[in-house]
Amino acid sequence: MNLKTTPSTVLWSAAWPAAAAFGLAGALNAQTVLRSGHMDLGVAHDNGALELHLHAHDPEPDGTEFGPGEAILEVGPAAQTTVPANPQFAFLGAPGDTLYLLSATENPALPFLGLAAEEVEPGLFAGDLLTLTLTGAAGPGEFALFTVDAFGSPTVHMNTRDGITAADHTTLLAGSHGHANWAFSAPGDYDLTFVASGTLEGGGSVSSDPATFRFTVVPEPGPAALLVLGGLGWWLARRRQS
Amino acid sequence: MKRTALLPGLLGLGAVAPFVAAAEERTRLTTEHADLWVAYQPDDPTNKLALVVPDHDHGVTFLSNQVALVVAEAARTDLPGDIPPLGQAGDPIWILPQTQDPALLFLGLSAEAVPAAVFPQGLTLHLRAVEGPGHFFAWQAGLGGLDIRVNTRDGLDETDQLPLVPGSHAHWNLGFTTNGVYELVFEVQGRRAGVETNDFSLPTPIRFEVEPLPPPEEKPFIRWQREQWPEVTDDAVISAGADPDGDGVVNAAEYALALNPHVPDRDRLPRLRLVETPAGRQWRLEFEPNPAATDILFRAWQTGDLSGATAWQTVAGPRAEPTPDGRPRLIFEGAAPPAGQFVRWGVEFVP
Repeated sequence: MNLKTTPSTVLWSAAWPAAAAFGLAGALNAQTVLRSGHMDLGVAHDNGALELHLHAHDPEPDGTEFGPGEAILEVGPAAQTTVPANPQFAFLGAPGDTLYLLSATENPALPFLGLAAEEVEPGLFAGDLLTLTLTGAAGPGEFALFTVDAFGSPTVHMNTRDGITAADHTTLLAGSHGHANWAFSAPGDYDLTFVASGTLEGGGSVSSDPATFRFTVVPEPGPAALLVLGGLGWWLARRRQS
Repeated sequence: MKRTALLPGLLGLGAVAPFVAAAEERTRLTTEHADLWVAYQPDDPTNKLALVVPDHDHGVTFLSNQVALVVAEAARTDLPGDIPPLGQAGDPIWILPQTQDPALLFLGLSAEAVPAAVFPQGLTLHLRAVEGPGHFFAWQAGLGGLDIRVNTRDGLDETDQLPLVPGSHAHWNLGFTTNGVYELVFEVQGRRAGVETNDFSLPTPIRFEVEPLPPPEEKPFIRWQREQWPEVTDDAVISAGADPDGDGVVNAAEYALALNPHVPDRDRLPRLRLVETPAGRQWRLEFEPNPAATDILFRAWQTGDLSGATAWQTVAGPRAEPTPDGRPRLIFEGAAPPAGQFVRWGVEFVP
């Protein structure tokens, strides 16, 4: 994982994509930016309560946890792809539409973001099942969480394109983890709010507080951005010479 | 594991306690979260990479020969369409899926313990051999369809490999075209920074048991036990090292020689005798083995001195020499010096 902990990292704006893409953003806050490596959106059960956090696995220090607001997941340019022509993926947009995807398959250039309930002891919840529900989404585009079966057919767990309802949830197995596909339709900052819940084996239910995590989708620099950056470089070079 | 029972020959002295070890058993992983896990052993001069199988649910790590990875019958599905090379529409396939199914083993590939800085070019997991009743595939599915990286249907070559990212793990769909026992032999490769040759793990066989398994073939000794003591399970009676008739001949030897384990019949043990041959005077131990006892070997040793000054030496053989009427007969033979010779023999179970 590429952990950057300098107090400066996040400034994305449609007006400054090239500057942002090359790390010239100004200081805003002390959030850690997670750009690559294996990490999970994890559910923990402590003192009778459920809570959500980001749990980093590699490189060191394994087990570093970030609460809501303490880290930003950067969906870098390597995530850019397009919606396939296969009509099963129409929930992502029209064929050919640009899409930014954190895949269930690891790309070393991107966060490999899993969903984990490894910190929940099996036997506490009925069927060892927990539910992760999307309760809010704010951002410049749409968000979807889906998995793909062995034959390539998707199962949509969350999708803001049709609004946010109780149907926008996925199931986690206590003591385990998994990987899904995180899809965003446009560059920019997304604040996604989740709630974890479960029914206790002995009856009664437990829910976490809503937890909001920021995803920042960074597009590939376009020709205009490259032109701006080139011009900036040329200007700096000229300035040094003078 | 081999099980051996030893009996003294007539020229030998002293009883030798039979050695009967437990048969080899593998732990079967059925619904756990487990990995094919790459271990990095920087201090090992020859095998810096190794492949083991941790069971994360129980915190146990197995060597490859200690574990069987079970593909339960619930993994069976039918191909929804023609999906080459997996098969044609309707063909059955057993899949351990990339995404977890609580009813199935969740098997990942992990290089989480391998430092990325040491192997900057990553690692690869090669399938080197496969033995089983069907074909095996490994693939991932995504927006672009299926990315099939291992396919035994067209044979095995260098392309049958999976990438492993140091410091990370991955999940793949693992598919088998029919039920039965498969042994897949994997090898991990990688090149350390600053080194011009690759490191390799030992070829590591991993057993997958794709259910339903055919009923195991009953071993001849097990069948003999069942026939001799139909309802008895007490090891003090039926085990290879037990001697329920108290004649000093353990069951393994009673079985090997088709003796009666219910009545004392030590007098039916083979006896040494001396024979004159063109090579000189020889001792000879000949006997008719139990033709149904195909899971044993006979062994013999000799020494001229029981004080321990001379080690027991293995006697070659036995040679097979059927009786005149065609029954099987085995013969051990060795030189018989004037000072005498001690001989002992035993039987050994083979896997």
